[in-house]
Amino acid sequence: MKRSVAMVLLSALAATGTACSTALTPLATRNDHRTSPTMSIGTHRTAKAAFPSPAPAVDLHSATAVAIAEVEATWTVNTTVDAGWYAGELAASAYMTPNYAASIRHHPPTGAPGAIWDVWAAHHVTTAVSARVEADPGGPIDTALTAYRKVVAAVTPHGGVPLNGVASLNGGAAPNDALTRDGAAPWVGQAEVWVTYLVVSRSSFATPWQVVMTETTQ
Amino acid sequence: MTVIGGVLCALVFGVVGLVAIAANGASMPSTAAVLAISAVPTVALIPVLDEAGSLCPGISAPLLAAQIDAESGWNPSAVSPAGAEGIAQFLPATFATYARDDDGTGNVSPFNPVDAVMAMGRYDCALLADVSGLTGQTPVSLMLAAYNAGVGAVLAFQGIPPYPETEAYVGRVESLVPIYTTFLSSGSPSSSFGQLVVAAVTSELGVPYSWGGGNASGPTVGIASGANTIGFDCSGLVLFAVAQASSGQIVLPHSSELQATMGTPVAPADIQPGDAIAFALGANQTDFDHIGIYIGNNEMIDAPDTGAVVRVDTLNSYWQGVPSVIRSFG
Repeated sequence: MKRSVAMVLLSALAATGTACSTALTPLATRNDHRTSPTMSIGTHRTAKAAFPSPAPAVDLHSATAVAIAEVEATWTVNTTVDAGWYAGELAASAYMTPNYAASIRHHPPTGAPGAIWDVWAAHHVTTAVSARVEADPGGPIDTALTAYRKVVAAVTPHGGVPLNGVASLNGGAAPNDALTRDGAAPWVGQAEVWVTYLVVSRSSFATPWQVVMTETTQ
Repeated sequence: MTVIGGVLCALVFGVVGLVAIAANGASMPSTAAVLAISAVPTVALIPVLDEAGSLCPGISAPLLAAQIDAESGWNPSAVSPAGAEGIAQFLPATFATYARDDDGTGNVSPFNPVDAVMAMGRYDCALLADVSGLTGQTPVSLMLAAYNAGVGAVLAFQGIPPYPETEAYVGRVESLVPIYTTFLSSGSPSSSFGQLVVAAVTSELGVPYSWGGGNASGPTVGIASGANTIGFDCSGLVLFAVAQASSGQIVLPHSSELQATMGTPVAPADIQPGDAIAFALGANQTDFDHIGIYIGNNEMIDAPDTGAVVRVDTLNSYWQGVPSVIRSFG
């Protein structure tokens, strides 16, 4: 049932004309998030990676663009080099207020990335993220300096290798996260859909929007 | 016992006792939430889960099963890139603190599922105690957040930290709990799916609107205007009702636009109680930015907006003039 739901989601997201859809280049971050809050740097990053900068293409004077960029960065991961979801959170801190970014950096998760990550890592997955803002008339109303956005992101895993003998598929929900392919086509898995509520602010009309706080739900 | 529209209601994690409501004034048989043994892929762990789930008030066998699913997918040999080990994905130092030789083999190991599940139970209990002074969110939600982000982060934020991984972990585990839960009942309620949906949403009447609030298990704290409010927004209420009616088998995304594309389309003339009805209130008549549950008699229950509560709305001429779609998830 979950698989069929996910396929509907993929279709729905693909068909949404207002979607701001991108597939970012996977960020080559590495961080053993369970043992140290300090990033260890991979082959594609310099020491500044611990304090990432916004992507040049992002319009920092658009609250919507900043919100989408933050969510896309959060869920854009490369399981061949990243140790867990925390790598995405660190990348997304480029769009956050200093306080929020510092909080992310100073509180690495103490838990494991989980079964989905493990299955995806076994496939050498990189993710493609399709994110768009969803209108929500019931929510708070924007002011000149504070904006509220709800972003729906479909995170699709693209695998580099088959799932030969991966023992993690013992049951539960994880098997639904295995990747498949048609013939020689690339491996692809069902999208995980995440919905993020964001509070975005700026100190003046001239300053960039930054993410103050997020709440992520399924 | 006759039950009309009666239904099992929201699972309250860690509460193993009765969780039932009566819709439309009907009475309910007594029920108790227990581990759904058919959902557990490793049969030998069923008694271990039951034992570990009874180590302290607040945790349960279904909760532990959901955690294991989310942590390792029931793989006793799992090793994360960061060194978390076994079916419960313990770091060695944490495991050493909470592990015992629970299976009497003389070999205490995170790769031994019995030792690992029992250690998970003890760890959960310790975390529950650590976060017991916090309010505003359920103790189990806070415990799960501490399991993922650490107690320090939870205490620093006086709640679930705003970290996507942590929030996703809490949400995932809580959405899995119903899958591992079944109910022992003294009666035989035979409600339709639609009746179950209606009963679930009816049970939340009067709960405040909270932007970003609501998940498969019930109302939650939202964000921004909902930051101090345990409640639902419109899509949170619908995903809750459908998850409850399906015993967690259908967990919709927290998005009215997506919910409006899922399930089975229903023609207006065929609408039945329990169907979801989504509206395009904005300028774009295909962006379904509001959603509620049809309950019959030309009425729906919805979570309308900030400052309001979950309520019954009559589908009057205003609503009838708004573009809408109807979906059934039964």
